Amino acid sequence: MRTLVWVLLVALLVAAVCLVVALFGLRLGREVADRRRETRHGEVRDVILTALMGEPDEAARARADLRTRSGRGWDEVEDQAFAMVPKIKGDSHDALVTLLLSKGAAAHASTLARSRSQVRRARGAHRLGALAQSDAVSLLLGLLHDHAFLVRRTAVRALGQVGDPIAVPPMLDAVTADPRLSRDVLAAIGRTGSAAAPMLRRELLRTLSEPVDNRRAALTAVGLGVLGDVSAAPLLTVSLEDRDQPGLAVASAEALGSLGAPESVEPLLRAMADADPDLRVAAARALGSVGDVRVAPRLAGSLRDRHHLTSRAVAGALLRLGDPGLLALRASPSPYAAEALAVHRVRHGG
Amino acid sequence: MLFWGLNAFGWFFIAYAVLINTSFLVLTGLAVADFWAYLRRVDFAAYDETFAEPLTPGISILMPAYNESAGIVESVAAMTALRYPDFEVVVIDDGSKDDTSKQLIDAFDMVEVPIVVPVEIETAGHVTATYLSRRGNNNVLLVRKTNGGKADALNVGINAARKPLVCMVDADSLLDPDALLHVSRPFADDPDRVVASGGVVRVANGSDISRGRVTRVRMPNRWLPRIQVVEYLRAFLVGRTGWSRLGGLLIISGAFGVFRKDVLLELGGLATDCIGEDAELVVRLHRWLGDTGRDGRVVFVAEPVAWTEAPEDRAVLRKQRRRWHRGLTEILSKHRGMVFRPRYGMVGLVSMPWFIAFELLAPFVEVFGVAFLAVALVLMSSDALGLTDLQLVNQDVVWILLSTSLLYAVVLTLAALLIEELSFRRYRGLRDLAIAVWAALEENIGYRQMNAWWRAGGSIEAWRGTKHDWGDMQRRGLGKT
Amino acid sequence: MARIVVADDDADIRDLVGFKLRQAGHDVETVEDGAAAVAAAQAVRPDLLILDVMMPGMGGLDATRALRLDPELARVPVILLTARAQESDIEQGFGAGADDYVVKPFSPRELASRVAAVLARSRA
Repeated sequence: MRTLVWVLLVALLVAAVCLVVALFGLRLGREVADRRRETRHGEVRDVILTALMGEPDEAARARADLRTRSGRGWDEVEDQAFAMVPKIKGDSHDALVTLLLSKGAAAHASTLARSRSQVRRARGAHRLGALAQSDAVSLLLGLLHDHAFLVRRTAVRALGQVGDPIAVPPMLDAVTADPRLSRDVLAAIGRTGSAAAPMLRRELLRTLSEPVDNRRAALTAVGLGVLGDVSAAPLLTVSLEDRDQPGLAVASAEALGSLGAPESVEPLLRAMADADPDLRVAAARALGSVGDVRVAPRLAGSLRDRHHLTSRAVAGALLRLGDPGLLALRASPSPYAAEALAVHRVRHGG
Repeated sequence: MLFWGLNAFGWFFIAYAVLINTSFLVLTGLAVADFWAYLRRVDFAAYDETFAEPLTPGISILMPAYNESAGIVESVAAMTALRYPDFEVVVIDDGSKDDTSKQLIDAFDMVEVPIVVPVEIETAGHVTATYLSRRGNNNVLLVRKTNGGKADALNVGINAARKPLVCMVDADSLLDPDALLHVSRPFADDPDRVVASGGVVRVANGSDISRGRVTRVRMPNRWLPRIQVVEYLRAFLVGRTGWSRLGGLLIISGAFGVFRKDVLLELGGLATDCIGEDAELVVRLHRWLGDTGRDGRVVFVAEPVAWTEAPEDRAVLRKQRRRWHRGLTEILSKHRGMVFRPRYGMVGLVSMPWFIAFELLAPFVEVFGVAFLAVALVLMSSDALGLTDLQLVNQDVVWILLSTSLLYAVVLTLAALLIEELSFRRYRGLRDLAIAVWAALEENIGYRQMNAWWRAGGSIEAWRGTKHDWGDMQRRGLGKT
Repeated sequence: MARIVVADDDADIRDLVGFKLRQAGHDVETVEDGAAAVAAAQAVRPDLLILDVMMPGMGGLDATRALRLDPELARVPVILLTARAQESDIEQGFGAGADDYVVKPFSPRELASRVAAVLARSRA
């Protein structure tokens, strides 16, 4: 019994003392390290900025200086350069990327991307994205199957920066496997730009004939809207009628809204009669963005929709339809019409 | 007989202390695993990119206000300055008798606008007027209603909210600029499953505050606040992170929580008949998820998001702790049917029983434990002084009890400090660290026992069913873990 | 040569913009948020401000509005920095009284020429 008491007391005391020592050691050590890093950081920062934007002779000297650095000296340069690359464009951006490439940053990033540590793999993917070299695509595609979510997300973002449309189908596969990547894939598609459109159209067409995954289908439709691919409008009016895949019709309505194609007006008006309130909301918003003023009187009927959000969305859409919309709102007894008109007055005076 | 009785009590208290502290040690271990993951993710979080992206859900921030004309403008101004692409601030004036509304109308250049507030949740008070700001993004909405209490005001706010996510926040919380970005992220990542998310609350006392923001984090010097800093770190940061990791997060703090509006409507909003309406909502949410068989998640975000002014005064602290514990008691008894029901998953099988055994009952055990120690010490010292020779108490039992309850607790608090040091590192300087370490020790002498006494009083109040005190005192959330 | 106040919460951006404009011969003061920008503007009476739209505390839009309310600063030109082309941002920016905007990621060279153009216009 006595020994038990002693063992307990001593063990707990030792634990407490160890924790206190660790706390003080950590705080002291890290604050000293921080201060050192700051000094080094400032010095390197000036050289990098001069290399990018200095007078020609200064810049050349600074670039030569940076190239001679190696080991930890270069690591500091690399870290800072990669922090800056995504924030700038134009010749400074290109100069920074050239400097990084000349010191083998691409190879280094590829090595990181193959590392066993998931943090390193993510950092590698991040850097490959920042460098945006097309030969990194196959390596990044491989990382889409990584078991670590962080790595998959960074790989998707990086593929967006590289902007090769070949990555679109594998990215959609990755979303199908893990919906958390939706926003990242959409952002990547947006960055890839119009080159991604044919892939998405093909994907949507296939989805219509043989449904695979609801979210994937919806994302494909939204993606076409993000790209502003007007040639996809006919296809999207077909997917707007789709009732087998929940979410696809809503996504198609949203996409048609961003495309603003006139031929989508009639199908969208038909969708206003659908039983699904989410679809009615999306269709109303889309009709507002398409902006065909002739629909105002027909849309105004839905101000009396039983679903509150639909009424509000309809009122918002009418506001965007200019004078015919305002006229329809003034004529309506709906409280949502009054609300929209009042908000409109607050926003635009009068 | 008496000998065995006293020592048996001692062993009971020892067993309880070992169980409570060891279970917290497990939570600490889980939290460490979670922070490890956080540290690795932080470099590539790319929050800035969120701004330009589609699919970022809009948020309505609800701020109920009752007679708060003094601070309301500053609070709302701080809210409007948050970094988030799509949000509105909905202030609900719950029939204030002072000029709360007028202050807002003047400060934000508001005009009366007939915003439709559909009665989707039945409320006691009714809306008398709605105003919209002509400033900025026109995203400040004022809803005036007849008085009905905080929960009723929040329910009107839910009806009035025009965004898919609803954020409930105490008017006097100080939010970090990126708070909404952090707390909405789980919804964007997993829109089908995440139904609620909560942020961590920290103590702002002692830190530099300007224009409703914590600008430099420092330790307070005074007794009660400095203890509360380490208490909050241990309970909110480590405790809740651990529960969240385990998938059994029972309560998220009322000081800062985000919910899906459609889910709030399904739940019928906040209960108006209990004290900790924000905490009760989350428990009821868990219950609803289990009853309907939905795969929903309540998640916790450990990034520092919300700061609060902790009471510096003993009387205020006492009132706050009594209230918290009263609220917890009411909630646990109202939802006791969830205990040990597999349908409620981790929450029903582990969290609820844990809360009852180690949160609800803890103050009582602690109060009796202290009484036991006092009796034991008196008997021991009287033996030692030669006044008596009863030998009723085994000294070893006393020592074991002291080390397993107090020393073990100190170790856990220090571990929480270490976790903070390794993850967020919001405090700097050796002086602040020394204060924190000292607070970890001194918490166990006086503060804990005092707290236990107050909390026990809160439970008794709940059981006796005394009338609710609707005073506008601080209600931050319940339970400490 | 002009006095310019630059406000951005990102240190990299402050350094990049500051360096480029100093290189172009301007006198640059960098701050971390909108409130500090307004304070700096009142203190140094700059010829131009460059403000990030999204900053903690007071953002660029609110800072612009605050400047426009101050009779002494109402005419100082403002260039906004905004994260990618968000139409609503830009619309609101002009509504608040900004003179021009630059989209991030930005080209330092383009920023410098915008600065020159805005300064020339304000002096004309």
